[in-house]
Amino acid sequence: MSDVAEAIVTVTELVKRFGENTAVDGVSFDIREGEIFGLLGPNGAGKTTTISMISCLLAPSSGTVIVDGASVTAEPRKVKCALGVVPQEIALYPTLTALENLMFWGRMYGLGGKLLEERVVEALETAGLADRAKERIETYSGGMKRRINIAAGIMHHPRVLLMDEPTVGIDPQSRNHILETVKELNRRGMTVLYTSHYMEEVEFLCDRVGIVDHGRLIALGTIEELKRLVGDENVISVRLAELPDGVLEAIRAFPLVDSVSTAAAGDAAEPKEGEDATAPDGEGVTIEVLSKDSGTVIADVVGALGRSGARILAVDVREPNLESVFLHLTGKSLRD
Amino acid sequence: MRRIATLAWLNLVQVLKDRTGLITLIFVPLMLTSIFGTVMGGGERRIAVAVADLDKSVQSAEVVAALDPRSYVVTTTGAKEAEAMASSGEAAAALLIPKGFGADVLGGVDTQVRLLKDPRSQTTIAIAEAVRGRVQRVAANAATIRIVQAAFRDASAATGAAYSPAPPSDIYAYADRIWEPDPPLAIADVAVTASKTRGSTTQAMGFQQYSLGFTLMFMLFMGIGSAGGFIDEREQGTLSRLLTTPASKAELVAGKVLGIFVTVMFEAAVMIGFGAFVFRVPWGDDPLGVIMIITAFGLATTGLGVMISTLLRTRGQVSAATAVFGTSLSMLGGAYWPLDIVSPAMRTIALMTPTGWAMTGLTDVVVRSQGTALAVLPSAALLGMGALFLAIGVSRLKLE
Amino acid sequence: MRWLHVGIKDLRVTVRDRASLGILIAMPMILIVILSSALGNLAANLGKTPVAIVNLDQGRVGAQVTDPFFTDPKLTELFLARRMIDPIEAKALVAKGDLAGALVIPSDFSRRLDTGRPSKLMLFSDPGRQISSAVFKGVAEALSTRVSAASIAARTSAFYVAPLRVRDPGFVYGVIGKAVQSASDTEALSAVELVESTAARGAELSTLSYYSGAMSVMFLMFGSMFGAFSLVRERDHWTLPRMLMTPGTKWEILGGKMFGVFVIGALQFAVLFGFTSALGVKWGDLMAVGLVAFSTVAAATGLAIFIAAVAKTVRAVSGVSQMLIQFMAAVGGSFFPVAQFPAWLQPLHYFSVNGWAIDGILAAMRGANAVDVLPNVGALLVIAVVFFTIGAWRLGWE
Repeated sequence: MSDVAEAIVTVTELVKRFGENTAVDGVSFDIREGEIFGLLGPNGAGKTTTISMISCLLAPSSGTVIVDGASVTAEPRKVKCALGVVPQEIALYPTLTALENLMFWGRMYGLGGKLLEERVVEALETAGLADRAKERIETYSGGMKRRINIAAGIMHHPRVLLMDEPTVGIDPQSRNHILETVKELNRRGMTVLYTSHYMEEVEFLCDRVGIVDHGRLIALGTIEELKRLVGDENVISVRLAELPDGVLEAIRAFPLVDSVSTAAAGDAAEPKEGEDATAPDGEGVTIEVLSKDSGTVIADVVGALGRSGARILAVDVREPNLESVFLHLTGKSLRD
Repeated sequence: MRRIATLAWLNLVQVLKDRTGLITLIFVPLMLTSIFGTVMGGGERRIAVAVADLDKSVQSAEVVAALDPRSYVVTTTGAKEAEAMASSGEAAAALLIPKGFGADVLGGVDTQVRLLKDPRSQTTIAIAEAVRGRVQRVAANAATIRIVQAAFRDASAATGAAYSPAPPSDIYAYADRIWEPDPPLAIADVAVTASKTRGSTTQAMGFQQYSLGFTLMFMLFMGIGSAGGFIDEREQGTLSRLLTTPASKAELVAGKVLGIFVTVMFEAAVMIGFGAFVFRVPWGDDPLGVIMIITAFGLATTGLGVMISTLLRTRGQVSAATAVFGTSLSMLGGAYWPLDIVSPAMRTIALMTPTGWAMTGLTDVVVRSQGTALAVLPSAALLGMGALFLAIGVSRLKLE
Repeated sequence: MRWLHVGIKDLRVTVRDRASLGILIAMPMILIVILSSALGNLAANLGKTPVAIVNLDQGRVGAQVTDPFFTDPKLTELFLARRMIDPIEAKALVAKGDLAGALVIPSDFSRRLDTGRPSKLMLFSDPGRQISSAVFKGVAEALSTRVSAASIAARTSAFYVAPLRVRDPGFVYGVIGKAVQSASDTEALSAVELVESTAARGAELSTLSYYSGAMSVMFLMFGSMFGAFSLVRERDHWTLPRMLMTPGTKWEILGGKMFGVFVIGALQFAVLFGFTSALGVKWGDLMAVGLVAFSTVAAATGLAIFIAAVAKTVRAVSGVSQMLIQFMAAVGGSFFPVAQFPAWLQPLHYFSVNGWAIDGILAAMRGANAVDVLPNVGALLVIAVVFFTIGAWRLGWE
């Protein structure tokens, strides 16, 4: 018995060009049956384009995609039957009720009669919106819409569920509900491809993760494997009120320090490494120091900061997360 | 004030950048004006009539002569061909004069001439009028022959001598001569306009009706259709952003309204100018009056467009509304057919529409040449309507 | 049966959009009401045309021309005639548009007639009221022809009888008198008759019928535009791409859309047909009308798919459809009959959906049967297939 499950989706050298622009540049990975596979990357990395090619919406410029034994270019119908899709957009009819929407989409997947009714009820239960099924989608909150958006993709019990940024712009409760739902669906046997630019979600859900940037897969593996890319390093994360000149260079100069970078505290665009960063909105600037011997280095870092006159707001030592991995690999933050 | 101008400018730039919109703005009116201009402009066109004169007598020739070559293009052919021409629309009508017509006329036998009309043609009334006049003349001559023959009989009876009357053809010829050059009684039709009198023909008047009506209709379509612009802004979300600028709601609306108004007037200028100068569509001699009314009408349609945009939510609805309001207001207002032929009740209703006022005003100024003074009342009414529409629209305008 | 479900879903969405539904179905009815109120019964609606009669004649003949306007029931039904004494004033009223026309009999009318000198009667007409004044002119001309006829009969008789030298001195006068009498008889001029009929098979169409047909076609066209918007909106809502990701084909989806638009179009037409028929419009052979309507809706929906495929944004859809529909309506005869166009321009109407449709509808109204309108049906179906194919081929989601 092999210790690795069969690949149910195989993507090989997938390329998509739009005129001059290459959105997906030779991506290869496979998704094993029963796993939750994550595609992590900033906006514009090519995640949606990749998903579109897997779901037969876009034709690849070159490369192949095999889903459940069928090629997307040769046997799209078979592929579509095996796939369920939860697009990034709320692809529902606003003036129709949730029930009407689900009935329609179920029919689009070939369900009918009693089976359709059962599956619709089931999907509504999964979404937790059975009691509001007869209301129009346009009256729903963002979170509720997203939940029905998911429900519409699972009624036909697909083998693989493609989810593209399913939690964008919704309240924390709905988001948690969705994450739990995904876990539950996976427990029931559904393979999931989950794309996101939220690192916490990917860490929470995924068995294996591919990190994409500018159309390329820059890392692939389990979460542990990826974290190890960053080496045995820990991250010393210091939040300062402001960043004085020259302190980054000083810290970098320490022998046990592997790399130093700044990350803005919020989602604002970050300045380049080494440049001065002034605190936006009083949140402070965070510098991240990667070191294999964080225990020793931390004293030097704090000392250097203190001598420079910076005001330290918080200090944290932690294991690297995917954000750090991305930072390490690209020098940029996931949040652009 | 400057902000308003900026907003209007923004509108204009958006329109210009939108390629399909630009085509609609410039190309469509030009194309339509060209089509209608060739149809309507440059004086009258001669009407085609097919004539099958199977008799070829003096009398039949006289009937055919009703079709003056200045107004009619006569094709002489056989009966079947003539009928075919009228059926197919190649000729507006076919005139059929049977064999023996002349003999019957001279011999006192009732006879007839047939006019087969192409049901699709609107000019058959004129043809029938022309032919009828001649037919009556021939009939009058025929009657004269009977009367003269009766007179001879009376003379014979009175004197006891047997007088043989002159041959019918002679009598006919004599009577006929009296009709020329001027019959004992004729009608001199003079179309009266306040400033000068002009000869009238049914055609020229008909075309004028169309050119005025069509221009108004198109301006109406433009005005209502541009209501979509407001809805676009709402959907795009730029409207809310505009609201966060120091511009007041009034300034925003004014800017947009100005933009729409400029568009509508541009259309009108293109169509009227192009039509009048290139295609010689008859717009009369009073440019000031025309400008007044057209401008006021432009304002009214702009107001109407704004008002409608506040009642609807999507672009799809706007398109449907444009079709419906544009056509119905045009119909009610007398743009499609002259108010002349509708009931007094409908004529009153017409004056509740902007098109009605505009048509009435333009008819007085352009067709009746009554002078600029008569443009004042319609223009005022139109401005009033425009203001009312704008007020309703602005008050209802939800900018979020 | 996916296409059916797509169609049903579309209809459901359309029904929820109450404003558009109202506009699509109710408004045409309103238009037809306007049409019929304005044009329904021309004779009744004409009201009485106001005209002025100015009889300055010092003799008796003038009255012969003017009296019928006040005594002949056929004329009093048409005209509201008033006697005036000042021709300048009458002319001014016509100029203002208060009168459709004014007929002026000069003071020396009878005298001139008696002495054989030709006369002309001035008829002032209001150019702003072409139809009414044309009717007035026609009546005046008929009356004047009678007078001319009488005069000519008298002169001719006198000419031929004089050389007979009948002794009776009153004879010639008698002849003249009798001549005038005979010629003035209303039946006198009936020996030669002008018979008018229509060349093609069938009846002449009233303006009401023409515009009913033309309007119905135009509304079907707008229904197609509505269909185009639904397709573009699906693109915006991302429901179109989602549908494309389900195991159906593009054709099933388009077929369903066509079905939806088709049902709306058929419904529109049924409403228009029923309504106008109730108002007295005779549509003719049901089969012919049905075929033309069916193929018009098909062509319009094909057009809708094409527009949606070519135009990317909702604004562009609006612009393109306006352009296409205006063009087609203009050259197709929606505004006024193609017959009015110069010969070289007429062929353009073959490129227009309106052109073929209106042509077919009018033919049916005039009495054509299903076979006669087959060319129209065929052309419309060809247009439908061509546009649909191009549109379907080009339709993507990006």
